Amino acid sequence: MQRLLILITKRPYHSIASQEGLDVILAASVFTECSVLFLSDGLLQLLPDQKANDTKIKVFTRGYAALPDYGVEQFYCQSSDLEKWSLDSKMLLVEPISLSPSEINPLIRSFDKVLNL
Amino acid sequence: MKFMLAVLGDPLHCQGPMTAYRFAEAVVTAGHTIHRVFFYQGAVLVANDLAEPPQDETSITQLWQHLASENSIELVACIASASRRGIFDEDEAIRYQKSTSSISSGFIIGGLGQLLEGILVADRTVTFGS
Repeated sequence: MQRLLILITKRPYHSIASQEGLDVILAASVFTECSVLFLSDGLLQLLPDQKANDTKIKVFTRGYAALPDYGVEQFYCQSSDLEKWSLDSKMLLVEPISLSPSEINPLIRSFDKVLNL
Repeated sequence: MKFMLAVLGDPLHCQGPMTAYRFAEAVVTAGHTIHRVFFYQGAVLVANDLAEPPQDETSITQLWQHLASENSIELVACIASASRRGIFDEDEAIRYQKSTSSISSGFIIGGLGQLLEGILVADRTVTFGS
């Protein structure tokens, strides 16, 4: 089975694209072994207790917490992004493995296919 | 080499769909094949038959139609993204009780499975973002 890495780089409610990105991860989990790398503002997708309902927007980010049930179990992020937002990976909807910036490139190269969303 | 293209950006808001077109043109000129072009997110608007750019402007829709028909390239617009943005084929127009279909000829409506299948089958997947 091919290993697919999906890159999530956009903040959660900047446009509908973020919601559609989660749809791709869910669909990918049906087809192949899928991992997700959250980079830059994409890490904010994993913040718990987002209150987008206050702005009449569907809180789709809860769906990330369900990904392990779909067989998506490997999540990664960049340690410098955690530091930038003063976040601890344990407080997020799923717990990503924190990698140093120099480890990101080898991680991406270790996958058969990469989809950058 | 077999390429899969994923086009994400809205044609009126970014250069992505035009860059993807020029890349696709280069791919076939170089003798490679394109397994499929999957239009997702705002890029489904490339398939909008109801849009009409001024006569002195390039129609990105027509560019893709010509390239696809000359090289037998499958152009797929994601069904979920398309429904959100008013792109319907005849079946979907009936299903949602719309007054007309709105997808340009040469494009078909498909599911995310066709994006994933293409990624897994192709030698290279190239994404054109927003």
